[in-house]
Amino acid sequence: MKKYMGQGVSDGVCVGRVVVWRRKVPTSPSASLDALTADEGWARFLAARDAVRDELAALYRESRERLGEESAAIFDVQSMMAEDEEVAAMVRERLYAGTMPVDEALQQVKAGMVTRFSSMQDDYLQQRAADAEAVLDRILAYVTGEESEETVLPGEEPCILCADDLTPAQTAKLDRHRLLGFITAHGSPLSHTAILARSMGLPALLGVGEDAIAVLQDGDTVAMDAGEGWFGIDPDAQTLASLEERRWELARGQERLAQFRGKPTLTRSGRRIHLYANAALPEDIETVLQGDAEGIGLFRSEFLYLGRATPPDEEEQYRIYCDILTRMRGRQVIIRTLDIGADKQARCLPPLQPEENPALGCRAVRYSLRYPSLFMTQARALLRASACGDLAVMFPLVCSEEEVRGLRSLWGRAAEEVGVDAGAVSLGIMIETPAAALISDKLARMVDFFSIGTNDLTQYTLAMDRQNEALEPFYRPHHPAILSLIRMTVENARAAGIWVGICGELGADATLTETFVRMGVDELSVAPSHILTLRERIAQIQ
Amino acid sequence: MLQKNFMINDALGLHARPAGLIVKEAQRYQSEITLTVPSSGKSASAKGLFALLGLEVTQGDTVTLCADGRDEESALRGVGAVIEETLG
Repeated sequence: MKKYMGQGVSDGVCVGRVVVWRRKVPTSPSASLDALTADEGWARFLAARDAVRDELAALYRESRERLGEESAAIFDVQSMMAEDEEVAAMVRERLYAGTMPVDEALQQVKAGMVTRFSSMQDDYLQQRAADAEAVLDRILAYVTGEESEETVLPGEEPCILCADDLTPAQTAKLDRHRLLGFITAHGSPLSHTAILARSMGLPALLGVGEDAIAVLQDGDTVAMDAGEGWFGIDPDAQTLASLEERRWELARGQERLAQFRGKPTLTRSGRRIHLYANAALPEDIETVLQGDAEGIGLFRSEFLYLGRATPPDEEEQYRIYCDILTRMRGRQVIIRTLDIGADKQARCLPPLQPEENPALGCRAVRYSLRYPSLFMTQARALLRASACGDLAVMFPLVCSEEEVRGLRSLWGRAAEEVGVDAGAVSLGIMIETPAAALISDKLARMVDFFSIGTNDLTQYTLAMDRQNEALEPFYRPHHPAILSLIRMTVENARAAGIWVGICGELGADATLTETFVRMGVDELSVAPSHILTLRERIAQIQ
Repeated sequence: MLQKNFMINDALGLHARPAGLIVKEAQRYQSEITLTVPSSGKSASAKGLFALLGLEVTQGDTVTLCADGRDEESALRGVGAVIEETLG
């Protein structure tokens, strides 16, 4: 059996019959269009264009509801490409010159647009050639009266879908329950197909090339291993046997973990650890629940401020927080207040003076204390939303008692303004500077909980930028200084009778789990995909 | 005819989403509205998405917005506000 190679996205193997979607592009002008006058051809183009524009606009509205603005924006852009004046003018010019039918005119215009974008310097703009092509192909399909692109899987059996590439419209409309996997000729790890495959946990093989897709026929039996990055047609017995073994290997791992689903996280001696997940956007909640997290230990609220022209107002934030709390159905949600500055700059917020050293600059609570009205808006929204579920709030990058006092007084004022009892929400701070860890005995008397942010704590303790590759030989994530600061913080929290958690990457490091549990950590907040692995690990600890 | 310069600060330059918002706004006015990139000499109507993307505006470029017609004043203000909000 010949193996065709590609780029695997998400681990997994599958064997099944393939459905091949080839892009339908008429290669020769159809005879009936030849007979149309220029006026009739033009009318046909306008009708097709309007139909495609409306279809894409409807798809935009529908996807925005379901997937959010960011994922849906592509359809709005495509719908505007459909009604582009320049395209219409070029089609019209060719039609009324009287030398070609409407479909040929459109083909020529499409070829020109694709060339124009493909020859641009900028990678981002080059990729828009695919959008232009998809939109104009769709108009062309309407003009020639052909079916528009396929979105329905034939038959009733589950299948492996093969295509040159899938358009966003196709991925949005697919019947996801009937798919075993994807194979595409083009596409990158950032393509729509890749994103869809990852979110569905299906094996996908991208960029196998057009030649490989060309040999596939509908109904062929195909075996693929996305982890190793290959597919083959009509697999022999030996291949099937080894794939079966791979499948067992993957399934055994998942099965072993599955027995921990829905269970509380307990050590062998019965001590309860709260295993929470990190999240940044309302869209993440589904993944958090699928991962079986017992709550959210770190909701990075600054992501609500990024990539937009104006900051979210109190009403919008209130709705978002309420929605998150409601969907978490009574599980605790810890929202971190705006952690902006350094590597996270929001266009919609007051700009900072250029800083010599942004990591040590005006970021996180320093920014909140400097622009209290921004903080107050968020505080009011959080306080109002606290009625929707079990909410806790924490402040990032605290260094001193004065900062905590300043934040608490703003928080109290916000509570008065919205008429909510300030004590209704647990307030905590992140311990992510050596300063905070060293005075954690004093800070523990001022708040309800600590959450140790190990990423920043490491960077500030070792004075090392983790993104800097040149520092790799020096970087020691388990440096005893870091572990000492964590231990000191946990001991001080316990002495003061408040609970303490760890978020950041060390929290998910299974080689440290036992150390943390023995220290007396109450909560770990990690990526949703690590929850079951850690629950298993904790169950082995005495 | 009225005109005004803008600095493009967005990391992706004049990319599809803001270009689309500019087109939507520009189409509300009767005036002829163009964007020019002085450094490359390229110019395009602000009412067409493909034309705007074809300007290949990148981060740090200055663009000149130009409106000519009966409602040129409100056109310059309206389209200018969209550019500032989304790319400034």
